[in-house]
Amino acid sequence: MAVRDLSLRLRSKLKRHLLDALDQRGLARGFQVEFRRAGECEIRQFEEGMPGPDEILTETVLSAISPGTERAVYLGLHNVPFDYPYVPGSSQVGRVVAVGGGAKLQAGQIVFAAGPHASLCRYPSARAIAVPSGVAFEGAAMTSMGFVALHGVRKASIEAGERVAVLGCGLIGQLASQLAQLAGGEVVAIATSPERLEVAKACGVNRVLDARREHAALAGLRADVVIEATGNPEAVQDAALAAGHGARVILLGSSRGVSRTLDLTIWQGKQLRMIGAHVRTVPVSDPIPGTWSWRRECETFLELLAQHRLIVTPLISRRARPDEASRVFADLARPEDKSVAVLFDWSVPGPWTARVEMVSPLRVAVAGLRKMVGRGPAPPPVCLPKRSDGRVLRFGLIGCGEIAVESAAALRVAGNATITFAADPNVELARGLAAGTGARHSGSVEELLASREVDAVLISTPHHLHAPLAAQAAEAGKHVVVEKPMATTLRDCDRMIDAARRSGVVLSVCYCQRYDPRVQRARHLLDRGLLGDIRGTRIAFGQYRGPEYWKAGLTGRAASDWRSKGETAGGGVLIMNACHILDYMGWLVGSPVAEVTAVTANFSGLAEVEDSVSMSYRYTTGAIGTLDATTGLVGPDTYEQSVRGDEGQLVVTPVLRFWSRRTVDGYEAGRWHAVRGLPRAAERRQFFEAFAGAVLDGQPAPVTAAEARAVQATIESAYRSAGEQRTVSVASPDEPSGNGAVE
Amino acid sequence: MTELVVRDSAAAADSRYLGYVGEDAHQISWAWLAPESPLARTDDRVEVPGAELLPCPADVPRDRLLTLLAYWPAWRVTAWARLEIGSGVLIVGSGTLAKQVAEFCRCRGALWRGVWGASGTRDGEDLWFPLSGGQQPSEILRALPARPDSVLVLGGGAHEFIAALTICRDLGTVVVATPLATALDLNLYPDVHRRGLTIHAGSPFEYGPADREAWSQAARRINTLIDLGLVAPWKQ
Repeated sequence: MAVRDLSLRLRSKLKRHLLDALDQRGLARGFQVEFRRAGECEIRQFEEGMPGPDEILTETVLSAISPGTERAVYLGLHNVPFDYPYVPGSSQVGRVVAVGGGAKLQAGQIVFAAGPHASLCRYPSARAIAVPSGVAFEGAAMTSMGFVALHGVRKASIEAGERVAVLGCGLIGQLASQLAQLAGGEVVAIATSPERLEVAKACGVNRVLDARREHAALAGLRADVVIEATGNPEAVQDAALAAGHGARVILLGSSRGVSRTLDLTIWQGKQLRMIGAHVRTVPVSDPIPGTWSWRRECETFLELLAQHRLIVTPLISRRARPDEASRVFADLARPEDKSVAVLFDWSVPGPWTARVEMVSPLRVAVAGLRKMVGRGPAPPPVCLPKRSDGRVLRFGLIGCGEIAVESAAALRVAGNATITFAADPNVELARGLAAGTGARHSGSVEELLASREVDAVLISTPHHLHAPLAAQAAEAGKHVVVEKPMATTLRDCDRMIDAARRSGVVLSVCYCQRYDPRVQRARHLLDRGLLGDIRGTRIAFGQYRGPEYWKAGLTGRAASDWRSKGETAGGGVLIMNACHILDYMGWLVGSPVAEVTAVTANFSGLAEVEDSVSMSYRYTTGAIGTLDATTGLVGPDTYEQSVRGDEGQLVVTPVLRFWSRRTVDGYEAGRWHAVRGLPRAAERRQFFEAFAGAVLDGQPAPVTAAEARAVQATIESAYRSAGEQRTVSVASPDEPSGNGAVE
Repeated sequence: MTELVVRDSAAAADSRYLGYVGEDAHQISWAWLAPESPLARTDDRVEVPGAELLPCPADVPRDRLLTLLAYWPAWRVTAWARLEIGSGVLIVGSGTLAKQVAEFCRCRGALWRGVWGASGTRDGEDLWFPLSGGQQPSEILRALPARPDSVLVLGGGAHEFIAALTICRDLGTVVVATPLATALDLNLYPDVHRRGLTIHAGSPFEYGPADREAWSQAARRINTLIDLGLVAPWKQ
């Protein structure tokens, strides 16, 4: 009897704990930004249920702050119809991780949604919009603000050729300026901040006007349309001043107070129309086909981004980690803050990156048993988002310092790759990078290489360790990506290639700047014969690296002076920085360097290695090139590259522009063309996706070992030339076969 | 300045203005609105700024020119309201201009018209609220069939204008065509911005050369409405 009672009690207890665990089934834990009260912001954990019918659960990649509204709520200003605690945010881009029945979206899709600053969000699927391919996450994350700006411009009914004055160069004003231009308006952007006016210029706005210095000029504008986007209640007076007879004045910014002593006789004298343009009057979906609903406006904005008709990169003032939210909003609250767009990057590893899974019944049972026997809860469930074809290349990170953070962020959002292991001698760095990703971490490379959960390694270590670690990884059967440069010597490069060949693995070097949209577009144009035969290239690269850099890198995350020594770095600015440009210029030209003459100098004396290099070289095709690079530049950075041919010339950076005697891709011959509005680069993510494609699908490697070796050969020859004060022939690359796999 | 001989004159819909018709040296007829003072009489020679002269459209009888001119400010105000068939309209004010506007609202298909005007000016077919009663917007809203699509402020002061913003339906239009005595302290967020209102500010008795084309078109249309019996100036 006692045994039966015990059995019944145990069964009852087990049942209770199973039910407890089932309550947790399908619960996802995320983090969100919250305003607890005016001026108080924090990031807090929350729980979200699994999606029901017609719902989706998304994992946020980026969320954009709408500075005007969110600052007003944060500070508790007038005309803010919200209560605390308040979860701010209304514009984010993320990846679908779970889908309820009937939802039209699929797991793995990238979507925009008008969601808060939170790592996870559940929506009706009708409130999320698939992001078209080719749209950078940064632009997509601004879609809600694009919707607001589009609505305002639409209310203005701009006719082509009309004069449009846009008051305010915050994010909404900036987007409205560009959209008004797209609508055919002749736009003048007006602000009191020279910094924001510079941003407007960088975005291609026709004309800017500093309202503080040139206030009298407002009256001379006689605009047909004035778009008030400051949110300053007194700005309507300036709007009337800038308006011409019969003008439309669009109230786009939510004014945060009372407009004092508004003299309507001025408005009456000019026969002005003031038009409120808050988006709350816009229907969510299209009740009648063709209605400008929220969905249609957002889809339009995303399509304009996809067509590169809007420029958003210069709008990004700051990209912050979610745990910096308190600081971010405190900064936004300062009157002197001139931020335009601020993004929260939820793809940066941190506690908010915990992922979700639908918990299996077995796991529920195990969780119940664990609770019953007092072992505490199981680790939070983790699973990776399903890729469209279910195939994922699993990376182990070797070296978890500075650049590895960027790579980890890129891998987290890659469509066909992920992180499963992180290793670093400083195990805390490895732990930090693995946190929230479900990846294991260790201080041992051997442990990582022994793991069956690792298909490929990314080696992000001091340069002199690239070769031995790459060889070790290849011998363990792992595919290999090394950070740039390939190694410190050509001999090491050959060792790596040899090891990869013997093991039949893919070896590549992360020369990801080839995926810079300007470089990609330049390559396309050159492939179409824009310049004819290429005759020359020019590279100018300059930036400043102070003493701290040589001691601890850019961030101090993994403090070490290895960069300052030839033995560990292989050289200075040439191998450390300019190698990227040498790589992609060679890729554009389609030819390795055959001979090189170089001089180097170390003006600063901050490191053993050179801080300046100047070199001339001849490609195997006969084209010639020059490179001038320094890390001792005083003042703003220089980053200018160009290519010339017998039919024209092309400037790759800072803005892609070209002139050709040929008409290519519809670009008229005989005049300059600037290609603006290219998507913000997602270089690193694209590189890893291409590498995963090479391993999983046999596609070409993004950078072949031979190409990376050719860059190394040029660099090594340049150093020899500088040392021997003569022109040096570059060693011929040892051509590998296939897709970059050296067999 | 153009020298003209005054052929006829009449009070405009606003007592501060008079409408004139005159001929220039080439016997071409012109119409213009001018402030009441100084008053010009028939056959007086006057000099009028060229910018204020409105031509007589070719297909409009000259003897109706003064009537058309008298109706033109009301036509402009009604056009600013952007009425559609089925609209509901609230007119604030009760003078001649308001009556003319009410006629045009009916011509343009307004479903109902409310008048918030001075006592003694009640028109039998309109909803009427005494202007001097100090009503709150909520009281007027209770009495109206619905929120009006347009509110035309032709009289009253700041109180009535601000009330008009509250009364007007979302995405509606408030026309302010009366001079407000003082500058306002106005919170534009709750009604104008958030509810998507349009405020059309205008002075219907003031015009310039850019308005000539609109005048000619309006004169022809008002003439048609008179011919059709939809506007009855002789009633006033």
